Amino acid sequence: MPDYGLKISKAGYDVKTATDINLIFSSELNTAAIALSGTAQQTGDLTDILTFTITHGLSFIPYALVYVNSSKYPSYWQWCPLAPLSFMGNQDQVYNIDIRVSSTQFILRVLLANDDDDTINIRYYLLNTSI
Amino acid sequence: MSYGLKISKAGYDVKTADNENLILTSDYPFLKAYLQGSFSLSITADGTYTNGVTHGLGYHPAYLHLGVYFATLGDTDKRILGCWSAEGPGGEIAVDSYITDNILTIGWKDTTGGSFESYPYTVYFYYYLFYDKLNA
Repeated sequence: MPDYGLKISKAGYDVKTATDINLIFSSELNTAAIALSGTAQQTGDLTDILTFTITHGLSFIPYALVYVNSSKYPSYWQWCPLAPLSFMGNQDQVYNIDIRVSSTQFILRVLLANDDDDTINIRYYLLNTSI
Repeated sequence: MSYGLKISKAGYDVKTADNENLILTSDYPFLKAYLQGSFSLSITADGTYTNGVTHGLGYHPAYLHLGVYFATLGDTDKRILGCWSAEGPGGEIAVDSYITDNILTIGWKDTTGGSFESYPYTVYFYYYLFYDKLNA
């Protein structure tokens, strides 16, 4: 059987001899392309649980890469899950964030602990990689 | 008109394979790598230690980070992904991060009094930033 496929090497490396780490792309290696990406926003108050439900339409359970931003600290985005008591960025926030992914849905739940309205923005990437 | 580029996994017909079984499809974009690097923090006492990585993109890009911690426990071959915290009788150890439109900041907190990992010790971080924009 002939050896075939597609490889693209980094600049300065011969694609015929480059090791995998020096390839930009190899059809021998699985990739983490973005099957679905989007943003969403919800507003709540103290002890509210904001539930973001995304029906993704994929037939497998994808890896989810998620970031969150609070209207309390609009210049900060944080990668989820956060440390349970985030000690940076949103210094006094104590969100609890729960991420669930099934073969049909991506669900992010945010328990708010601020004492007045807080708008939560999220960015999610669902990767074309089954977990 | 249907057009594009697809490469299937070995054993799958590229003309009929589900997306999950494609190595590459031009229907799905990739996170585009912008910057990667590493740094270490020397932990000498209870407290919060941070390091900022200036990216200068002018917007909030996606990012990832991993770390190597607890070298004295022999964990030098383990990369721990993301943010986390662990609480024990002596206090808390945690990793946290955030990104602005100019700087990625990654931090380490230890309030254990050195009861878990004796002071001083060093933690190592590896970060990846992407061109992809987080805010809509």
